[in-house]
Amino acid sequence: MHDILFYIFAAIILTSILFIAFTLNIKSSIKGFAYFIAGFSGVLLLLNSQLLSLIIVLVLLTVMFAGVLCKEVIYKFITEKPVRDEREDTYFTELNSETSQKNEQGKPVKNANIISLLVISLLSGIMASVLGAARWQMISIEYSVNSFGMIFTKYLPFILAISLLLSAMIPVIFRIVKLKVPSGSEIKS
Amino acid sequence: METGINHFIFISALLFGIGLYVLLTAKEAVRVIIGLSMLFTSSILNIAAFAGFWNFNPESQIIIFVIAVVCLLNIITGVILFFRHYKVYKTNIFDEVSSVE
Repeated sequence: MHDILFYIFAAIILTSILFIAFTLNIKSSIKGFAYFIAGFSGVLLLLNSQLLSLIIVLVLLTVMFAGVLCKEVIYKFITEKPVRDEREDTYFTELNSETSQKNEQGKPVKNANIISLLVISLLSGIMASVLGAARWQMISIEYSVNSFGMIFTKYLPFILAISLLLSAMIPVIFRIVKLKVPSGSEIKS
Repeated sequence: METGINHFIFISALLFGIGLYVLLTAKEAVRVIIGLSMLFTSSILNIAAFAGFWNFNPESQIIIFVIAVVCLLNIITGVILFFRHYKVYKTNIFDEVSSVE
């Protein structure tokens, strides 16, 4: 059962990352990233890291909801197009349109770069073959053994430090967002 | 065929390679953030695989938590920086910045 689930999640991950790498539409690559995170949390679930998987799913849901809430700002930032169509007064009328770069002839610029693709596939192939061919000790995962209690008792200072780091970042983020920046014309002058 | 640690390492290596490709060929700010987070997730998957196959130990979970938090902060900082950049230059495509300047 776990083997079949692993292959399903692996297929989701590989399909979505290939889709991210070779799609021309930025919005599609973000959707692919959401699918990738979903598959990744499933693989973590298989690796007996239920807590981390749950946290990743919660963070994904939070980011999605935050993205929906401030979609006007984020949509314009991602696609460089206004979210509201003045002619039809509807949201996301450009949802299915291509938002990729266009060259001088109006043709979309391809993301694929054959030299970097070859070099990186060679690198990842060597990594996968060397590490995968090693004679690892074959031990099946013991799902009955987990000690999440220790994380919240013995290693509680680490959790507190991480929470402190995150809570310190929130005011910094608000501070940076509220900072006044000169516009492009002011910089030119 | 029973899944071993090799399968997870293979997925992790592929994730690293494709994440690196996305990062190197990125022309838009969003793709840079996605590529960086793919690299982080490949390392998380590696640690989680070794931790899962060699008994569950809380230390590995703590390390994964730290990496995940650093990844999250990296994404947040990147989004803010690129958003400020967009406000100034009115573009998030890197090739167009030089023409704006």
